[in-house]
Amino acid sequence: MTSFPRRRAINLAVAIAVAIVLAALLTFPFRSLSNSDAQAVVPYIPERLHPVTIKTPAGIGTLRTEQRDIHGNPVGVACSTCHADSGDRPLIERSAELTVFHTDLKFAHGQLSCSSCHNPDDRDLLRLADGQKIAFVDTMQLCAQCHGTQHRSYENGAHGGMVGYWDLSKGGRERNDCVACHDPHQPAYPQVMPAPPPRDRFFNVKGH
Amino acid sequence: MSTPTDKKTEANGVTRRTAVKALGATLGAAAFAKAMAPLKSWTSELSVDEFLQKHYRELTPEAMQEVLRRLEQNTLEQYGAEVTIEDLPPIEGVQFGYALNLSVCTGCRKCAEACHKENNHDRATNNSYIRVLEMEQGSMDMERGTAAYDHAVPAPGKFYMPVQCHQCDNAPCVDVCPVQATWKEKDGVVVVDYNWCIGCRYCEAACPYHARRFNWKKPEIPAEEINPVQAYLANRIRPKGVVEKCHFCLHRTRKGKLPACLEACPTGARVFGNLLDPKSEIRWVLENKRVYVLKEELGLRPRFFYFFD
Repeated sequence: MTSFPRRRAINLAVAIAVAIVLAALLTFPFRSLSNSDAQAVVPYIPERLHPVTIKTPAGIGTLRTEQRDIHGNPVGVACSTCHADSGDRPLIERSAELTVFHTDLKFAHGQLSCSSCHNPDDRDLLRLADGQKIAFVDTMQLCAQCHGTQHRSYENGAHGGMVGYWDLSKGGRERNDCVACHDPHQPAYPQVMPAPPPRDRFFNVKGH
Repeated sequence: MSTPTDKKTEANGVTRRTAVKALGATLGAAAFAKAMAPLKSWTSELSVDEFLQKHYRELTPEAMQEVLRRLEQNTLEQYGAEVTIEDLPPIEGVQFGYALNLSVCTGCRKCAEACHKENNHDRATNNSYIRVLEMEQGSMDMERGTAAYDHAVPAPGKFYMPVQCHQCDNAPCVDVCPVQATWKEKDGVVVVDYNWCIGCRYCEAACPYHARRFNWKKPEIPAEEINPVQAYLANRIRPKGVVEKCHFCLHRTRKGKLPACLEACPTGARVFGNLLDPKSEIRWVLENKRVYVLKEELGLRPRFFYFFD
């Protein structure tokens, strides 16, 4: 007779334990859900009201001179000024063959020859691998033929310097093109002296 | 208990009890004087208003405006520069993220230099929120990097890793602050209320990225070099004795601009944007590049990422 209340007590204890476990199981996902609810704000996706412009170096496609025009801009000479009658002369293909003009040109860009990029029929234009003529300002297309990875990164905003706004609804952005940073004849980024180091007292020793 | 000597002293009218009382009173008076001593250094630079100013998050908009005008006035008086200090709230739906391409960084320190100017750092120490570490190729151990290099870069066999505040989601610097002078904002930026900071430097010790700086002295900047576009939680000139840190240039980025360090980078190693916008540049990098989280094992969930081409 005495076992009946004890069994009831055990049953009750088991029921309570099950209830606690169930409650814990139920509240746990709800809690994490309510957390993510609190963070689930509507993403701000700005309208592209302002342009992304690509900066091309001034005077591209001309030979720089020491002269400046009335506005102070450097005066360049069009390539065709000299390269007009190439017809009967053999085409120079390597910088080492240059003996009279462009002799200060250093070339370190793989195994390319001059006419890989320059159009021998019209020196004021460049030439893609498929023969298509392009203007000097469109040089990015030419670089992209080989440097696809860099071009893809550039297209997605992950290569090349820029200034302006991340939020194009508030202002525009100006980006560098390839030749703003890379000299096409020796495209490796040059060594530079860095800006001065911090003069904190901890920095006078090796390590930081 | 009483001895002949005691009786003799009593006879002179000075009991031990009186002597102890006198000693106690002297010590008490000295302690009081010492405790009040900071009042002697109370100068015009620390106004009563500033002393009684509430925590940033308890200020009403009107009180905030008063604080901003007072700070502008202080800058004019102490530095001779007319500046505008704003209080810029986070933008809804924006979570800032930053990524840096270790494959192209050349270690030129242009980012650190831009930070120095943009954020009105002390000129004498050449302080900056960015520390560019020169690292041995083959190692990612930041403790073995050196920030003091001064030779042409990039040097052979080295790579360069600029380190700044990672704006961690589980920020240890925020956890250790005893007065809640530093906290994480809705857009993910960890900020400091320079007027609430007590300068204990716990946060500086807690940060595994060495991203916090302490103002050992009052920053000195010539008036003409001061960046006049300032914000309360950002680049306003910090007082002596408080901690400061990178705030993702929130005085620029909360207005839609790119951070100063990104604009200064000549190699385009830096990518900044809204992590919540699936079409942002930062999202493209995180989804398509090989991304590395510095000291990921600490589980701090930074907002700053390194990547490789």
